[in-house]
Amino acid sequence: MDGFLIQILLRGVLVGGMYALLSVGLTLIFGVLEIPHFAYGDVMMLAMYTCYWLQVFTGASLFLSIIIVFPLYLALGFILQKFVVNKIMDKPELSKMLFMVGFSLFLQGLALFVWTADTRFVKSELQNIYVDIGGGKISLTYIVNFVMAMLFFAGFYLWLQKTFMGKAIRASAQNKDLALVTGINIHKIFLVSFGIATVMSAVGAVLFAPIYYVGPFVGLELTLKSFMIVVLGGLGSIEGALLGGLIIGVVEALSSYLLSSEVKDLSALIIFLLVLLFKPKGLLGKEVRE
Amino acid sequence: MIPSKNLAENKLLLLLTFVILVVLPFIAQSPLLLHLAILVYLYIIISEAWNLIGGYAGQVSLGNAVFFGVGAYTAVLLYLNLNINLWVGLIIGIIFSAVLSAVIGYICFRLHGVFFAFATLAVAEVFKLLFIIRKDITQGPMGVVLPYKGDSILDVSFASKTPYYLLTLAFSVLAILTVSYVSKSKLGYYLLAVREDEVAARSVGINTVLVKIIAFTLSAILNSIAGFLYVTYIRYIDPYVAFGLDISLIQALLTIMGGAGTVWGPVLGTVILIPLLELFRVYFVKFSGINYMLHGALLMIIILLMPQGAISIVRRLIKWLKS
Amino acid sequence: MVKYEQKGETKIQALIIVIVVIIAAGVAGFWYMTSMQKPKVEEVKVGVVMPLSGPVAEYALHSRRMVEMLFEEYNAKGGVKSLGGAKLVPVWADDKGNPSTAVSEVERLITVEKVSVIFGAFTSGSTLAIAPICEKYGVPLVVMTAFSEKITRQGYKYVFRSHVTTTPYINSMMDFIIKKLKPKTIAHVYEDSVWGSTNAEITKKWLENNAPDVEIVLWEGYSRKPPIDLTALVLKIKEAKPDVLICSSYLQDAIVLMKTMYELDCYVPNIVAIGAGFTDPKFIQEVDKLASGVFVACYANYDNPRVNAQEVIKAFYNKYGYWPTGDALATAQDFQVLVDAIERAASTDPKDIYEALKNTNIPEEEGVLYPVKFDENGDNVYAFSYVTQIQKNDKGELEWFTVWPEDYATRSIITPLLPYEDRLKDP
Repeated sequence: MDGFLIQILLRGVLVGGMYALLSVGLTLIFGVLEIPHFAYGDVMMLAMYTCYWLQVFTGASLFLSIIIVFPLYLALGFILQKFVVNKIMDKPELSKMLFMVGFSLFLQGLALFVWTADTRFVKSELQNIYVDIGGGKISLTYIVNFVMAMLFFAGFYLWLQKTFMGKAIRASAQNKDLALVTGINIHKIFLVSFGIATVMSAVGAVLFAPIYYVGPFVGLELTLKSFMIVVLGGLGSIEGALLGGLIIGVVEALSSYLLSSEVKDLSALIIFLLVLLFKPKGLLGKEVRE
Repeated sequence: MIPSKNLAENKLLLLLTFVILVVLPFIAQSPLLLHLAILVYLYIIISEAWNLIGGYAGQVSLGNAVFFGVGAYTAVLLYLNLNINLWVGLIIGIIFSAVLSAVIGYICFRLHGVFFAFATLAVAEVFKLLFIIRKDITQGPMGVVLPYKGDSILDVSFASKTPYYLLTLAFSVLAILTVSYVSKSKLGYYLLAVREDEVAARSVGINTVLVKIIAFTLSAILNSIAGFLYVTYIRYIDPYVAFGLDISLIQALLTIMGGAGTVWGPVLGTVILIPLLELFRVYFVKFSGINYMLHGALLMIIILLMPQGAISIVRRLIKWLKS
Repeated sequence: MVKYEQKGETKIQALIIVIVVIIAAGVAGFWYMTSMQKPKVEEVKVGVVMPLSGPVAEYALHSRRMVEMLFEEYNAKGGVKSLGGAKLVPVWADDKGNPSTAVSEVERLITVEKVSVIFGAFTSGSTLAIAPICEKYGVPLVVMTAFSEKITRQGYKYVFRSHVTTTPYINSMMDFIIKKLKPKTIAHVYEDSVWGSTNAEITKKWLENNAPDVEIVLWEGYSRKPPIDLTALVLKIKEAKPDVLICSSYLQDAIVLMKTMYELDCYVPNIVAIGAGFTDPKFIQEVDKLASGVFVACYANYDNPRVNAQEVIKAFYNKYGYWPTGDALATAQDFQVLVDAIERAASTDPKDIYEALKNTNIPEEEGVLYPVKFDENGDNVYAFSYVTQIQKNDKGELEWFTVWPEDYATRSIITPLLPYEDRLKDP
């Protein structure tokens, strides 16, 4: 039976890595733009549908989809920030949240209208190739997509650390007023942050799609999960997103092994509530935010 | 409230409207109209409920579905399993919801803003999952069907829509009266104080946690009643409908669109939006998704242009008329 | 100042009058609109409720196609002859696989569209939920495809089901299992909606009454909501080591189950599926050689020798290019009962159709799958079921072959299942 424990834990880690990429964008948006982006998951949903359409109409491989999704969603992120998000930057926090709720509903309706309520599936060519690990088999999809997710994550992290823009963004997240004083163009910061966050989540969603499903209401599930992960890891902390993602991934895998799949979601939620109530700054939280 | 110099005239108008509404089902025999009205009354109850905690107290709860679901399930499960009369189940459900709201409130009110919202959302999800998992008690995802065995007041079972219409109308009036009373009372004053500046409110001696819990409890009781009315009308409930985000969200959205923190705002929002959405659903079956888009777009527009809600437009209109 | 007050108040009064007039006009409009929906005698409206979109839609597609084909054919052959060739008009409603959506759709069909009869709702959950609505309004419900016997055990008068229901089906299937597979231990995994849960109940009862020596090692439900994760379940199956594993699964969960069992190296000597997902062509497409040797109990199979069945089967194949599933054939039987009753009622009044349905008596030579006569619950006393097995045909492709009851068998059974390495080998 221990053999299975290893397989289950491994699966949890692999999924957790993908979760990290999915959610890291949200931590940036919270940290820099201070927007409760309720529609975060819905944009991810659009990315998954984009990938689905690419597959249906051109039979493109998953990896080719990423090459197309990347510039598309980077641009979409910029557009959304400039024309949608910008309008509410000065409004009170709850108005921002409710506005994004409205946007989320709008996107759900759009998906429902264009693609109907049918459940769709995105396939990876590696799906049916298995690797023997720990007494069982894991589909190569998990492993390869995990590696890719980690590559993107690492790239994102390095970008934040090494580039000028990245450093400016980190400075704004730490202390906006101070950053403004140093002459940083705050509007450009917002634009770039939102764009990068969007594209990271879009790529994460495409990598995650083959082991999940695609439907118009997937967005809500993904938003909630991302929020759980970044709160767990600490709002504003990139490393926190990785840690949070891995923890949630493993907790889910273990619960589905020990108990049942329904309890999987319950465990994650309970951990989330406990963190919210007793350690709202999260595990690696830097910000002193309400 | 409609500002009018002549208060008596205002009350007369309300009474007249009420009488018309009561007589309506006996004149107009359209099941569709009655169905729309029943939905409107149901949504008035939950939007006024949200108004108390979200509008007056300023705490955005996204988990009110918990009480809606508890109200519905308590009545139905006690009835089907222990043969307890549904009306008694209504009362028991209210008690459960009230107690739950005090507990949840006490735990969650240490959080604020977005965090409070997400916490309540998570609590509702937890309830949903619990009700799915414990299928031995709740029949899980299969849901519970309230059988129809003929007309009976005791069993809240009617073939005609009129009794349901009158029932939901009565409770919606109760909801409006509750909010009206609270808004004019000391509690209302405290709630507004908490909403505007909780720290300041505490510093002048207001027990902000207690005040918030009271609002939350009233909100829970109204939601519980609505859950009972829903299940006795639709005759079916499952964890997805009972504890789903739909119920939690729509009561917030209707209130905000109409005007949060006013007595008639939620009514206005509901009366405008619910028939629109329902008619869309019934007559434009092919255009599934348009009503979500409509809803979302309206919400965004309201937040941008009319954050006080539609009622602010009505007020301006009335002011202009008086000029 | 008095002048201003008067002006203000007249304006308000004027506005109030305008509003009252608008509301009155609106109400009158509704009234008019909804009372104009009376069906003409040139057509008979049938409310068709089933999943047209959503998670179950893919699996319900074959029944849906069967319904579309049958309506078209029926009208092409002259429509409702007893009403002078009136068109049989399907009024479609999508329940998205949700019982609550089904309920509101049926309300709409009955009160707004004023259909004469309801045909639906494919899933047991939705059908169970809409039965009280039909009963309340006195509009007959001809059950489409749904399996659970809970639907016809509520004491409703207006519910009629012509295809086989849980108890006789399970009797036949369990008979097969005990006589041909002779297990010492048995397990059952089932999806947790009304359908799967009813199956679990009835199969367990059958074992307790008829084969108490067979040991029940696992009897567990799982959730079908995507994303479907059956890891824990499969590990439990592996630990329990049943001789026979019964599965009550729709399409996506059937696929996930087979794949997960392979991934976690969980082997059982015999798998017997209760129809549904395992009868779907997509199942074999997705799961391929893993499906080889699986037994699938079903409403009927396309190698059914009955002449009337073959007529429908061939028409379906010619129109859609693949063989109809057992569900689709059950749907065809339901449709036959529907039009038979409408013809005999010669009316669009639901009460007349109800009376006609009660007196249904379709003889052996005419029934698509079997003769039809309803008992006091609304179930067909003549209905029975089959068991098929997935085996390689002459071209080496996997197909379903009827293996039970023995009089109808086109192949003999192969048992136990090959171990995975052998199953996946190319011949």
